[in-house]
Amino acid sequence: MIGIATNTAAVDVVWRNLMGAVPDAVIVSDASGQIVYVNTAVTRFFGYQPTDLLGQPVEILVPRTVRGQHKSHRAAYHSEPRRRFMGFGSDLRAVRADGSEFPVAISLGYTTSPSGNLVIAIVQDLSDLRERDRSIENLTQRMVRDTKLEEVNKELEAFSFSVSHDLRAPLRVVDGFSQVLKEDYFDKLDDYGRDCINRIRTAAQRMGQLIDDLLNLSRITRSDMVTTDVDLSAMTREIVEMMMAAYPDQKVELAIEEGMVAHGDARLLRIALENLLSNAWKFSSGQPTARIEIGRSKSTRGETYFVRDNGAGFDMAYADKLFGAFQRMHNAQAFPGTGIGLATVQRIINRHSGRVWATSEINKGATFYFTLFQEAGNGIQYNPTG
Amino acid sequence: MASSTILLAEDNYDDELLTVRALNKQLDGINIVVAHNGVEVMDYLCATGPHEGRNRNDLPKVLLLDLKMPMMDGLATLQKIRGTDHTRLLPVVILTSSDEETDQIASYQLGANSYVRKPVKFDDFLEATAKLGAYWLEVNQTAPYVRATA
Repeated sequence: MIGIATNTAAVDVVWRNLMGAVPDAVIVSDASGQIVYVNTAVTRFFGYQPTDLLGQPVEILVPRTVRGQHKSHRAAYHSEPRRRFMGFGSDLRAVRADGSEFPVAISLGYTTSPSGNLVIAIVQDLSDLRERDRSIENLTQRMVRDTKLEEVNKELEAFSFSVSHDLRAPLRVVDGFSQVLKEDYFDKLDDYGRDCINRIRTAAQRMGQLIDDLLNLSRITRSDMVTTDVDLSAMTREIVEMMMAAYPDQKVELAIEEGMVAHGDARLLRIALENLLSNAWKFSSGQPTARIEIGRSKSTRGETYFVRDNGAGFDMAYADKLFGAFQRMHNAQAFPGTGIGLATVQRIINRHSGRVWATSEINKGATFYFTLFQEAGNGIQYNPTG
Repeated sequence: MASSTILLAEDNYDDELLTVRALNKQLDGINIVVAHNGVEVMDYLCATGPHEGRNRNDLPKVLLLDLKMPMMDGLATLQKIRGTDHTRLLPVVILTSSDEETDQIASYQLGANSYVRKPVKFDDFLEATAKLGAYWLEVNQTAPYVRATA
């Protein structure tokens, strides 16, 4: 049912309540451009009290740079008034009492009164809409970037397949036929000939190992991350048991801190810990009693985990090379390896938005430190590749 | 009793020589037939083309199938084998250089019985071949020949 007020006072009340309830700013100006009426929404929009605006030229709400233009537009409008909507497509802006600007859409209407023509402007604040537009744009950009990333990843995958298949196959042939040579022509070869064959085979097998390591490294970068709470203490104990079984002759004193629980990808963190612990084992093998310690230190920025040994250590002058692929600090005779372990550790820690570094003194041991999800502060990660 | 034939699908001649040598070295009295792509594999199994007149009920004990081959590659061949009544239950072992998870998943999804990555080290390759041969020729019981319904 529609109520119709019949007396003037009642009409006034209805009118005021109605205008107060309109969510948009309503501004009425006369033929000379003076503001003759505003609703209460102008305070929220422009920061002015309604009484501040009455009698002011309407240009007070228009950015300084376009005030001149606005005056001529206004004159043109009064000579031929009609209903008009201006807004979403055009880049209209309004100015607040504090001088700040905001995007608006404006609808214009007109009416006549005993004192002349009146223009009614209904102003909508588009700040939220523009903000949403920007979010959508950012999201679109991110999607485009992710799509490109995905393409690069696919190329990488194709490359690693080609490396896997194309480089391993000829190596197998090198190793296979040198073995055939050794088996079938053993009697016809002297010691030097046999030594040459052994060298060929050793080199082929080492290259096979390098290719496999490289493939595993690329797999770590490509694999999907599944983050959960990971009990690093329990994981360390499991790895240590494995190491003890693999090197039963090495005497190791162990100290594993209890209750180290971190958030991360269990599979990747295990690979990182395996590499760090097997390094600790390997490089302390020359000590009468190896001492390996796994623990953490707490700071305001979070937890730093460490793996410490009393082994051969390395020269800190080369510390920057430590985490590069195929970088080695010791010769292969003393400590065998392909130099991929710490590069793997670094990639895993990077994928956890953490940092890894080391300190050492030659023949006194080394300590490897790492953090997980510390840089971001809140642990929230945007991880397009999973 | 089925024959002791192993069908080897391998396009690389060097790899073929090494694999045949390894198989012969590890297993006595076996017959190795070599195909160089999927088309040759299907010709042998279905007794068509150059193998016309062969008793097609005499299926090999196992097919050792390389993935990367010209014309019809390993996965396409596997799909063809599983889609053909006559060869549907043939044991197929993928023998490849590839360690790619996608290849492993695709192979098993298409019905491979086993997936073996060829080791670079020839001694390891010999060992793997010996185990493979012993299992598929001596331990495993193949399904009875399935008559084509068409």
